[in-house]
Amino acid sequence: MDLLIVEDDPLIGKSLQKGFQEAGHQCVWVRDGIRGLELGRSQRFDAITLDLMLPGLPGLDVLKTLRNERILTPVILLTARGAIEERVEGLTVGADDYLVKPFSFVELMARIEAVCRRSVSRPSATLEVGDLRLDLATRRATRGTAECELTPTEFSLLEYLMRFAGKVVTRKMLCEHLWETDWDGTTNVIDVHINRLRGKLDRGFGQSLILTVRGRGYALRES
Amino acid sequence: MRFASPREVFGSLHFRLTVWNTVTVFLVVAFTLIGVREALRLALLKETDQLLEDDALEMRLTVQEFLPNLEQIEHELERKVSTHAHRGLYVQLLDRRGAVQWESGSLPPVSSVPPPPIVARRPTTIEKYRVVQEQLKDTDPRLYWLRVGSSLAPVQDDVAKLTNTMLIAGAVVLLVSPLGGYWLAGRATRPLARIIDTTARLHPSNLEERLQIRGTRDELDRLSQTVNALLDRIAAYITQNRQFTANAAHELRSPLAAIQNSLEVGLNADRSAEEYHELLGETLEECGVLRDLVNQMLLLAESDAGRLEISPDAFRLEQVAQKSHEMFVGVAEAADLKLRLECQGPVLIYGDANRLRQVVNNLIDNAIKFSRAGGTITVSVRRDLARHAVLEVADTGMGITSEDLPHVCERFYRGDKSRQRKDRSGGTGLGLSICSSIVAAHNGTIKVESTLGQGTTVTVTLPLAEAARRDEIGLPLKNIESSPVA
Repeated sequence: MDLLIVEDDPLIGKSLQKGFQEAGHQCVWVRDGIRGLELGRSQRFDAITLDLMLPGLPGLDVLKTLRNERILTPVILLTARGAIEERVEGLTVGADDYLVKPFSFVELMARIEAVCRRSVSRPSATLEVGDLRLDLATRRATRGTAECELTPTEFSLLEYLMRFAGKVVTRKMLCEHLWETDWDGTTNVIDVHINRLRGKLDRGFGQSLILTVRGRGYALRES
Repeated sequence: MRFASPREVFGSLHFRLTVWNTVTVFLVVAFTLIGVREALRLALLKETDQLLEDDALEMRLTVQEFLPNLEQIEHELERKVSTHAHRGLYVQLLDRRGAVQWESGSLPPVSSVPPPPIVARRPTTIEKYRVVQEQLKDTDPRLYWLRVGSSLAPVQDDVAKLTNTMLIAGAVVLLVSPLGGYWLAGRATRPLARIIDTTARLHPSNLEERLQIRGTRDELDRLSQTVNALLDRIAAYITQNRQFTANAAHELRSPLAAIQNSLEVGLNADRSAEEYHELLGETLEECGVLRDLVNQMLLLAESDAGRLEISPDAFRLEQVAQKSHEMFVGVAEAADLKLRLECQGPVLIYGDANRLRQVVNNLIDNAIKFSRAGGTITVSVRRDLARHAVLEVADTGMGITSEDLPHVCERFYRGDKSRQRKDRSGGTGLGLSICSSIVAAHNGTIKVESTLGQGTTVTVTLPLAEAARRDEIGLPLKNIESSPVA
């Protein structure tokens, strides 16, 4: 993918750029709204991450101008906590999603992929990762030839992990996916379900499919 | 020492009281003196008139007695006039048409005496004289009227003397009354000045000082009491804030120290990629703790500033409780606890579902933390008789001591000191404060009851959607009609 980062904070900008490039994407980082608008107009990007507080031209104005000029490149806003009005206005004038700082990189990546996918293809009826198969229509999960009996929560959890196979999924993302809410308490409400899911998926197999990534979340082994 | 600016002096209550006092005293004195002067003048005039009428009567009798001996009459009248010289009398005898036939030697200027018909039987003032006229009966036609005049000069002299005295008295009053007024106003405003001095000295760093209560039970004492009560509240608030800041710094320091340590140690030597992975993972974990803590503190700060974002909508509380139940049932089972959900029909409330979900999550999380294996946690949602929505989270856990119970909603308060920080399961100590902030923003109440060793019950009471609609807690209410009430 070809991504544009419009972000004036040097530390965040630099790490985002590095992260995207290491994830195998093309990436341009500019630090003010005017440059951001110029590049956004070139329409060569697949997605734009746009900070709202920018020197030169505010992020909202950049977004408005782009949308007024019928440039429909997906835009993800980065906002400060509490700036709810800006956030709402951003979504109203045509942002595709937003993230509140501080955010985790994997979550941003996931959302970028989601907004890009949203405009391209529909998810298929079956998900397959390695020898794992998930039929979304019949809600059946199989590993190799063994069928796994999953609770709705476990099914939903596995579906999400499979969509992001090979990538880190944070607890926050899982929480929001499963229960439409963020849980910032210290009790790990996901762990229990992950452990049960592991128990069901890995029975009879030597290697666990779901990896715990310290400090970040979980990932589904791709092969 | 700072000198007051003219603006301060003239604008001061002391100055204005002095001015008002002076003006009032002066007006009262002026009106009194003017009244006295007028009363005196009238009294003197009345006396003059009385004498004049007596004289006129006497003279008429004299004239009638000595008629027709004109010379004798003139002589008698002249004698009478001269015996009352100090009163400035004069006498005229007039014929029927008013022409003067004879007049005494002490006559006023002739031009000033008007013709007879104008002069009444009653005394009248003509220029500087009081004049009275008597009709002589059965007499010589040349002598038809007797006119007697009495000078007003003695009266005017007396009044003038009094006026002088009064002007002096007025001047004295005008000089003395501002001084008196200044003194009085000073007395009245001195306690006020003391209040101002003390209040000006007050500083957030020293919240001990209070205004003196003089025990007079007057308005100024009441003012002092009110200010003192305000100071008490401010002091409590500031103390609480300081405590919060200190606690927050303390709480933030732990993860920060962990991050610093692991990064420093990590950089001390070359390590394998695996070790770096492990290290960065640990660091990230601590960052997560920091982020959650900061987010929670921001939420409380927003709530303190009255800017807690509430995007209200109608929703069913029991569905929120169901979701929370789903979220925690796994954790509860893993801890060998029974997490039960009791709902009786829909309980529609109007509020921010996400925020209230946070409340339910926090309460269940707390209940799990403070329960022992084998215990039961019951989450129930119902409507009470007073038409409130009631959410109850009851556990059979260790309970809270009666010393801790009043403080459980305070920020960073943790009953069991041994659980502080060392053990992450102790949480941040902000959970219940956040719950009460959110509940308060929904016009609800939160109540914690506990028996040590038996368990704790937290009861949250919220207005039902209909009640909330009546009280208008927030945004458009049209959502209520369109939402399913089954």
